[in-house]
Amino acid sequence: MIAAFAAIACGGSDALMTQTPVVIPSPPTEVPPTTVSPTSIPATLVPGPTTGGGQPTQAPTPRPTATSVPEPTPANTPVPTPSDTPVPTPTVTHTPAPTFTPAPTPTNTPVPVPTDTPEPTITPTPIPGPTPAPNQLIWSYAISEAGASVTHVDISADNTRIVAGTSTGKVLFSPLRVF
Amino acid sequence: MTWTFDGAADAPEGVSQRSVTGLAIDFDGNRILAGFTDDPGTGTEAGILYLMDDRPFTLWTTSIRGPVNGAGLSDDASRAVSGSADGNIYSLNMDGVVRWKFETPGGASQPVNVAAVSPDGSRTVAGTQTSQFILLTPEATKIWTLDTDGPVNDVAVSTSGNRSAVGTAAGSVYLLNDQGVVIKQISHPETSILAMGINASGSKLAAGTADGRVFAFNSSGIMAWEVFLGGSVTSVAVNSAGNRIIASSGNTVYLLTGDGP
Repeated sequence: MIAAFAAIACGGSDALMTQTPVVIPSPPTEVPPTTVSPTSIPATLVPGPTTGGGQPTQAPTPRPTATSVPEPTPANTPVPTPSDTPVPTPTVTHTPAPTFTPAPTPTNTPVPVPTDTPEPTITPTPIPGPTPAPNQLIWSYAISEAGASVTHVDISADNTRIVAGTSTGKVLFSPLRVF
Repeated sequence: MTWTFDGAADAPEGVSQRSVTGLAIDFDGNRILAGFTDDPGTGTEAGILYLMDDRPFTLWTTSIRGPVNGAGLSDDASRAVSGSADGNIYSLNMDGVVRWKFETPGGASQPVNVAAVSPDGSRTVAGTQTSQFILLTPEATKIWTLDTDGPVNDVAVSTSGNRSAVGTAAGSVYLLNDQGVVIKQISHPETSILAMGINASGSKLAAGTADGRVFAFNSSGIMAWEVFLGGSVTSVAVNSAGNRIIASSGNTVYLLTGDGP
């Protein structure tokens, strides 16, 4: 961008050498090399010299010595030196060294001497005896013959007689309720 | 009137032991069918059936080949039936004549057979050591057979066979209808079912167990109650109304109310 502006300025000087001297505009103001966005600065035309056509008869005016216009020296904008932000020094926290606790000395626990525990007395679980519910048993009858057991019984359908047979071959007969 | 009939005293010579192995009474108690097994001490046992009246007067005796295993009598005493260890089921008329004998599938090699007859005499049931339960017509025609879970220990049948029951050594009670359909199987594998009884209508069923219990069931096989008697229950019977159950265990006869506790 800066080079472009300089070229325009030089062109202007060449034109002045062949035209009527005019007041040379003051040198362009140096534009500091500011970083400009592409749309921020419109191109400005430098007005050209006006042609005076009504003076041919006049003696030529000694041409003024051309004054060289010093080219503006671009001023370098010093780049700011980055300042190093000091890194904070981390604070080191020292962990205190563990304190060793001496292991406790095991103490010999005396082994318990087994004591002879008397065996529990076995309590026999009572087996329900031949005791039907009182409201269910009407009666029972045990035969008196030693060593004999009742092998079969029957009751008459009309509920009047009962009969029993034994392992010894006896048949007992009775009206109901009485043997 | 109370009496005792000494079957051993009536045994022939050479019989060292006679025991009652089948017993039944008719509807009003005027007829008693007693089955005896005679042990001569030689290993050859024999069976004999007695029909007595209530005096007691012996109406007839009939020998069967093998030991008696269960006996039944119809309400009018016109039909008697007995199982035998010879593998046969014997049916006798009111005069003690063998009407027929039915050889069970196990035959003589399977010595335990039990039998019962319905109160009306129209159905006979039998059970075998080979785990079969059989329903027969009065003419010994097999109506159906049920395979059970163990040897049959006892059987029972109600009028017309509308309910029949079997107890097994494996602890099951089967209740069947007249078509041989199992209405219910009640299983007590912890024991054996030794005795069965049923009333005429089939509304009350009783079972005796080897571990001393008596179970009572209704016609659907639902247990109504149980009672513990003590030793093995060797026999049970139910009166017609179902409100009395008689049972035996050891040397004792128990009369129980059929209605339960």
